[in-house]
Amino acid sequence: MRRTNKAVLLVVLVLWAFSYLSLLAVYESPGFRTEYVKPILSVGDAGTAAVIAMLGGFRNVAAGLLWLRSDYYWHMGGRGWWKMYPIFQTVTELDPHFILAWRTFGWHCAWNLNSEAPPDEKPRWIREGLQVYKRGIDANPDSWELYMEVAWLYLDRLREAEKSIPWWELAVKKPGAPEYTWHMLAHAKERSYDWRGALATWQQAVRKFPDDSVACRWRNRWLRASKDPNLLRNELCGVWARDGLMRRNRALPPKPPPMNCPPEVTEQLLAK
Amino acid sequence: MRAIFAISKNSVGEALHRMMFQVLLLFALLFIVGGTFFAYMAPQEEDKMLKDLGLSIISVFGMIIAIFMGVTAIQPEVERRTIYALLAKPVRRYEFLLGKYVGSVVVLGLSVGVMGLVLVGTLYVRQTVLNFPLMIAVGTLFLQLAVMLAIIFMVSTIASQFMTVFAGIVIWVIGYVQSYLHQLSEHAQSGFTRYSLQLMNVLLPNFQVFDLRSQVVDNLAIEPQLIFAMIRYGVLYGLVVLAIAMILFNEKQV
Amino acid sequence: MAVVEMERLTKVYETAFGGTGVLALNDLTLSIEEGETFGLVGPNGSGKTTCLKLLLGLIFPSAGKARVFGRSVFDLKAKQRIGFLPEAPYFYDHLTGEALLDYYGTLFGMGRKQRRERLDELLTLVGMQERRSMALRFYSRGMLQRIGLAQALINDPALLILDEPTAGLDPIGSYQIRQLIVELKRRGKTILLCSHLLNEVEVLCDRVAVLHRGNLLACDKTSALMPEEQGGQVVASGLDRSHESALAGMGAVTWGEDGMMAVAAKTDEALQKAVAAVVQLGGKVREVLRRRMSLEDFFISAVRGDQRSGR
Repeated sequence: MRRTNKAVLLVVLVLWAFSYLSLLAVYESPGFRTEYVKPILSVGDAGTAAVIAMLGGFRNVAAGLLWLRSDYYWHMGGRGWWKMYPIFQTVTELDPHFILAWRTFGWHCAWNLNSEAPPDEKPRWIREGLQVYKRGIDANPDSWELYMEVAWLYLDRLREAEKSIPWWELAVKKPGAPEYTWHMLAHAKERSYDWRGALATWQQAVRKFPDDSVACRWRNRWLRASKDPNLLRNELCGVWARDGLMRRNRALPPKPPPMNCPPEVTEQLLAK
Repeated sequence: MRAIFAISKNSVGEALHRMMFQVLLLFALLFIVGGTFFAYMAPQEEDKMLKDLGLSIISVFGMIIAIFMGVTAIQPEVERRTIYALLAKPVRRYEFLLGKYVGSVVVLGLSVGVMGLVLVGTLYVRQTVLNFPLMIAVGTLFLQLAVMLAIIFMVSTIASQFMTVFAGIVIWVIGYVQSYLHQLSEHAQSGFTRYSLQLMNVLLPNFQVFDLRSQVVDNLAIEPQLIFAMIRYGVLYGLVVLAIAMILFNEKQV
Repeated sequence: MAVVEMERLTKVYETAFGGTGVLALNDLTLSIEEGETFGLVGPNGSGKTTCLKLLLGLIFPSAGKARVFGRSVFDLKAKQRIGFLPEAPYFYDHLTGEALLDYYGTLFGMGRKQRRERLDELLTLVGMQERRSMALRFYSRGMLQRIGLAQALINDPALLILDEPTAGLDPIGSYQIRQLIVELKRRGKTILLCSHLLNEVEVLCDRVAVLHRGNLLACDKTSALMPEEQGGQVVASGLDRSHESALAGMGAVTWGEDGMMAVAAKTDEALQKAVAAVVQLGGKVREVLRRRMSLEDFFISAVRGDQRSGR
């Protein structure tokens, strides 16, 4: 070192140590999104990790460009829908925090590919959709949207309201969860015939979102039903009847009624 | 200070007059505005796509502009020998380097600012509400690019222009993989792998920490504590790199 | 007081992968006094530019030391009093002539008013007043040289270092720059002039140092390096070949056209006698030329001598 004071070098080293400590502080800061790393269990996983490492700063751009490509295959329909599968897989590998990609991927498997698949493969695509959502949740444990997607899959696609309830409960607890997640939790409880649970949920929703007129209306409705056995019977039978209709449309077996629901009552409720 | 200010002012003037810089900026703005058309094609949620694309474009073009500024700051002065007339004057070497750096950061800031304004403006037209998290994300991207610029300056004191460009791109790629390597190190099976990956985290910059794209796209809250920690890291690491650049430039025979 | 002092100054440029470096300057010791105009000459690669760069702190010596105004070359107080015109100057394209001078003036800590006045004065001095607002990218070589000289003078330096100040200029431009240097000399500036144009150095410099392959071959007053030799030549008219025998004793006689003739005398005494003889014989003395070695003659002989000695 011809002219430089060695003390300056020492100061540089000390500053470097402090900068690393600051970096660690960033990792520990609230709101820092930890980088999701898929466990490397196979050569394929190692290869993917290597490609992701090499792309570096271009990962998000690559994911974005592939995402746009998927739109082209979407409009192609039929054959194009199957080509979207590997694209979604790659996009979610490259950008594991791209929530929309996970949601679309899972939905595409459980709804679209499920409908396109031959009958013996249909259940497989439902399972695939669920797996996709769960992988997305692994990478984004604070995303209310992905919990909502799992819950909706159970509630709407499979008509299994009881199985959807724990997922709705997880979704509503996550930051940013909107009003309608509470609505859906309450409706899931209704469809499980847990009207007391549903009422409690509507009440919680009104407390959390005082301006939510939908929650207010439903809360009041169940409050009135809780005081009038006939009204309660009508509400529960109505839920059963509507659910039965949807199940028939999807060739799902019917559920037993929650109580004695005379046919004339259910027909009247359906006509409404 | 006077010398640093004068040199930085000259540096800004020089960059703004360069046609290549003007063309770069124009392309960046065209891409951002063009991104709105891509967003219409995207399945669902065009605004999320626009934010993601827009920030990616600012990141990539910001990187290109940072490399351009770093490469044209010192080496051309040495090659054209304008540095002789300058260093013959009562100007300390570190003042020259800092002046050039400050000037380059100003130009970078202006570019990122203009690109950010266009993006925020485009979103405002669609949403009729100003997106403050997006502005913060653009700000942290600028901080990241300023750190990258400092590294490019450091490399340019000892390498040729071509090597500096190459090094700049490699640094940007590596910088974006540090968080990934840090996480990998926590799952590493062998101690050697863990320590090697952690060593990379110590030595090399982590640009990913400055990237708030996913928070902004998913409308998550951005914690002030995170921003302060980020700024602290950026400033400290940047200072370290600039200090090394000053040491190297002090030893340089022009 | 010595303005510039170089003591056993040596510079070896290291090669990238070890091995013997390139010896650019070898053990140079010389000094420049205040008010002196000092010439530094040498073939390409002799170490002139290396010497200047060492004085300006642009490179670092391998051995020895250099001082300017009694201070280290890196001392800013010394640099405050130096003006430097680099060889084939190139400045910032986007600036105008006056903006460039203003910029450099700022670096010397000059206030705005002071800069403005100095700017006007210098632009007039170098003849660039009319082109002051033109961008440097449109300047010709000569204009760049002038503005280069102006920026070297911006701080009214006590020591002016000029590297090839007239290189690439047309005869009028060269003449104007030379006149400027003479004027600066008259104002008492110390000038270090580095040039290939030996006739220019001969005319302008008080002392000259000759470098070759990093070694100092000679350093002395210009007049001492170019001693007047004995004898000379008498050029006359109005005589004819019948007078040749009378003049032959003083030196070789040659006849030109239109009755012109010349007598080449080898000694001063013979020269005096030739002049007297021409007058006595009824001729007209047109010119008496003393034989003098030029700096170029000295330079070539010194360099060749150095080459022969095997360095």
